Amino acid sequence: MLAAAAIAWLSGPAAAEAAGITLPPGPGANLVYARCQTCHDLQYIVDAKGLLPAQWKSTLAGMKDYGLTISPADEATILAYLTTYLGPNPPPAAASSPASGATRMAGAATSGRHVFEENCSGCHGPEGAGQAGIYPALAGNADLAKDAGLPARVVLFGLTGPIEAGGASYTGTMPPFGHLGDADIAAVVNYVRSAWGNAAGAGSVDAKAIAALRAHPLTSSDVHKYRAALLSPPPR
Amino acid sequence: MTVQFTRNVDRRRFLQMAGAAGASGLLPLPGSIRRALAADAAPLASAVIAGKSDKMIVHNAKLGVMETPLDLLRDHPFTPKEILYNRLHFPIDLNGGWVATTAPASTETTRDWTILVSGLVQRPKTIKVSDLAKMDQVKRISVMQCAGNGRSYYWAKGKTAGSGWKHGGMGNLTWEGVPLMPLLKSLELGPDPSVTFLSANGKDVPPVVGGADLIKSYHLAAPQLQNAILALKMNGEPIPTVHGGPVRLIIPGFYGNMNIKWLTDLMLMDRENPSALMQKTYRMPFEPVEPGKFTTQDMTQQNTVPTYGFAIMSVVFAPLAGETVKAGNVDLKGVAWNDGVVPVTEVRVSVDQGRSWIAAEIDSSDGPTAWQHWQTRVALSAGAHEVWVRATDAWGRSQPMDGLTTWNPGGWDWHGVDRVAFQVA
Ligand code: HEC
Ligand code: HEC
Repeated sequence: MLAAAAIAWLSGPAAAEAAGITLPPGPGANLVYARCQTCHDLQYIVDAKGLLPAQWKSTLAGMKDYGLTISPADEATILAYLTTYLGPNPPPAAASSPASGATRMAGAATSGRHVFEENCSGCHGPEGAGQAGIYPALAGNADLAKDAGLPARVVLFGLTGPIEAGGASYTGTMPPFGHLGDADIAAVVNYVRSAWGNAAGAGSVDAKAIAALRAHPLTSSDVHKYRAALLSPPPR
Repeated sequence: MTVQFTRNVDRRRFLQMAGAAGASGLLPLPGSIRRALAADAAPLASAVIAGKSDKMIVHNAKLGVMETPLDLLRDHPFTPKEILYNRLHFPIDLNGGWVATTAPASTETTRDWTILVSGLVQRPKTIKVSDLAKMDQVKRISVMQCAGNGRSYYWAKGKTAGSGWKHGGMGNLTWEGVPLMPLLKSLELGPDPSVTFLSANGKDVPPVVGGADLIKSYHLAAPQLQNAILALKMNGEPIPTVHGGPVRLIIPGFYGNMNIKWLTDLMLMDRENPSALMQKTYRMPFEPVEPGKFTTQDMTQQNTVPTYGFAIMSVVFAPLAGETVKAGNVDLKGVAWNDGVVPVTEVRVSVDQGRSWIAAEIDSSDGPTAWQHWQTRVALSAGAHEVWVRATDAWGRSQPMDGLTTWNPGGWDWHGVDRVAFQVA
């Protein structure tokens, strides 16, 4: 009974999935995930694979003309990444197995604040204040308190579909950040649930819990349905 | 694009099963709602823009960029909304989600929509779309085409950024609305003598504060502007929202990006708008340039021109690449178009790699800005063949035999001679 219902529920009108486009792993890839998906997603970037270094340099300058704000150091890191991994002569894929890149940094977890600043602040703002009508605020966001499984799944798999958060409506797509390591995801989830005066609610998460969630991949619209079920009051 | 929570779902049970109740939210979800991420599967067009045919080729889901396969395009003299190509500049989610449908704008939206006409004028005015609808309407039949149409063919010479369009980023459409220039005149705006450009802006906005807006500027003396309309209908119906409804500036003969969707502002100015989407992209260098030697950052108003009018172009609709046709007299057909300023006078076809050319018949009955349907018939024996097609207009403008000669860093304006390989059996 439930299974049938659940299937019907999944085949409802499709929202565009967070594309889940992945970049070749390498130093700087994380910055591209974090800084290059506010105005468009990674499709433009993977489609431009093969550009000459001068073209990538000019493309990045163009993004600043369009409104990208970025520190010179981050720009240099991104440029080095793009010209190497999406340039005319990328290193063979074997030489850059997922484990070797900057992605999935194993071991020593960076502080949650650091992970947040590097990966989330581009959209949600340095202090989690968001941007009215476009990127929900995480500071003062009651949705985070209920269950760490929500922010954890949002970070791992993305989130697509209309939501209400902090009294405002959003119809955006949060791209997945599953390329981050389990420890970093745990750290950032714990951070956003407790920073800026947020009341963490029940329990914190650790890398093992994130690994367990990762083992059961969802689409970004599945996460949306999960969120709706979690946050809306059950029917009478 | 709303996701329904259908009635037959028991939320409470879902919560229990999902383990969302209590601290067990970290447990995996039940198998029935688990789905592997299909990373490489291209999203269906109808999931990106409601009402689009799933036969469309989706280039960029986030921006609603899709093109029409030629075997669909050729079937319709006027391209139906379900299969018309699309390209947006800002995401179709975030604050742009309202446009992701081929349905027309709601009655209320249309009723309340206004266009502010301002700039270097003494008396700025506001026009209501509901008032436009009461004025005399004129009809235009014109090609709509993305300035990046054909971009992927440039990649044989050097990679460019941007979506990999083939030939399907175009369509032939009818538009109805109110002529622009007489309307501007009737408003008695009192323009400053320095006014030389018209700028247009639409309701779409960039998803970051301070981001460049899509604002386009046209020289008021441009011949195509004299023919422009504030369009309310496409193919006889209110304009589909994703294609710019309730009101779109239509400038027959100009590339798609110049035909501002969801028109909210017209500004009479003394110069081009400084927006980066006017100055740093959608521009063609005057001189031939080489990959890596001339980049988008080298573009200035002195060495480039905005992608205004269509470069003269022709494509083959029959046979299509890879098709097999019967030996004997073979029908060759297609369409040609230019910027509409002077007529396309000649379409020539070659079936021997350009050694000899046959003049095709041209049907111009829909006017100079519409598809010019061309056709001819040649006797072909069994084997592999190739058809080339080349259009020329009354000013002698023609297509380069080697399209790569107009390579440019944005990949705009592809109009090389189309070469289509097919089989005769
Ligand atoms: C402030 C908004 C914004 C941000 C942030 C942004 N882009 Fe863009 N990007 C744009 C716009 C607008 C276009 C479309 C330009 C056009 O239509 O020609 C674009 C297009 C592109 C393109 C393809 C076509 C072109 O014009 O070059 C590439 C590649 C690209 N962006 C890469 C990046 C990278 C890499 C980053 C992160 C460093 C980034 N973008 C961040 C606004 C942005
Ligand atoms: C490219 C922009 C972008 C980046 C970067 C980003 N997010 Fe988001 N995030 C969004 C958008 C857009 C939404 C709302 C999605 C929707 O409307 O369905 C969102 C929603 C969320 C939510 C759900 C809020 C709620 O009320 O349910 C959480 C939690 C979240 N983001 C956390 C993060 C974390 C942690 C990071 C860094 C690892 C991050 N985000 C990075 C765009 C972004």
